[in-house]
Amino acid sequence: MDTENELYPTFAPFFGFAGCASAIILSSLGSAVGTAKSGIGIAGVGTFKPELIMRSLIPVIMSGILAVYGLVVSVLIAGDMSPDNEYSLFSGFMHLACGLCVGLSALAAGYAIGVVGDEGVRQFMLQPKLFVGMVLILIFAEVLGLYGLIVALILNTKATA
Amino acid sequence: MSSVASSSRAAQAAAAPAVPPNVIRALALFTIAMVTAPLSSFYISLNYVFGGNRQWAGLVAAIVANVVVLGYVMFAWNEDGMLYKGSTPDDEEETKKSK
Repeated sequence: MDTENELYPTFAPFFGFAGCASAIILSSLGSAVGTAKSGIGIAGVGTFKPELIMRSLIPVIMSGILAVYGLVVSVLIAGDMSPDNEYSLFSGFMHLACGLCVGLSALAAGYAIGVVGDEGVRQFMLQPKLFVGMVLILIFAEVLGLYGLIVALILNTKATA
Repeated sequence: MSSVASSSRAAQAAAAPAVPPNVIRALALFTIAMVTAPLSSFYISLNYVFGGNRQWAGLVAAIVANVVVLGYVMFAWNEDGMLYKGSTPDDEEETKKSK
């Protein structure tokens, strides 16, 4: 009984819910930074060359993906939380690690997309050959968030094991 | 004189739509796909393909989201600025000179 209380304390779900919240909040924060900073650049380009807006919107789409990553992990964590089941402290810490993995790596990816998107579309206006390089840099920045998602998914498999 | 030119340009801009309808259609399509495709693929694959295994369904949702981005990049690559031909500054200069 005593060890059971140590393994399944009443405060264990706190960490799980903290992970669930931090996954979507931090990844949305990264997505917002990427969208806002690249949006400044797109607004600067659009006044001079409106025909380039469609191509310049790629950083915004890439930022939107980051919020989807956080949403997926949040839904996964929320599916494991139930008031009927016993919830171990291990699961709580694991879900916190899941949320922080995807949240903070999406924040980093969103910041990189924002900086590259802002400066990239401005220089793309002057040199159209920059498009392939800009898209490649954006993909490599966005893959950082994907790594966080993969680690979070692998961590999440440890709950049922 | 400048006011006449600016008013004629404003009338021209009002007559022609600022954004072509096919661009609006493509943007609406990608916006809807961006919202619905990952979520629907998550729940469809969760219920019908993986039978409740959420990890694989989440991976499928992430892959589908990246496919939508790939589709947008290819769309923007093939677009080539053709859709905005009527509203480039060069065309406006030509129309002004012809007048």
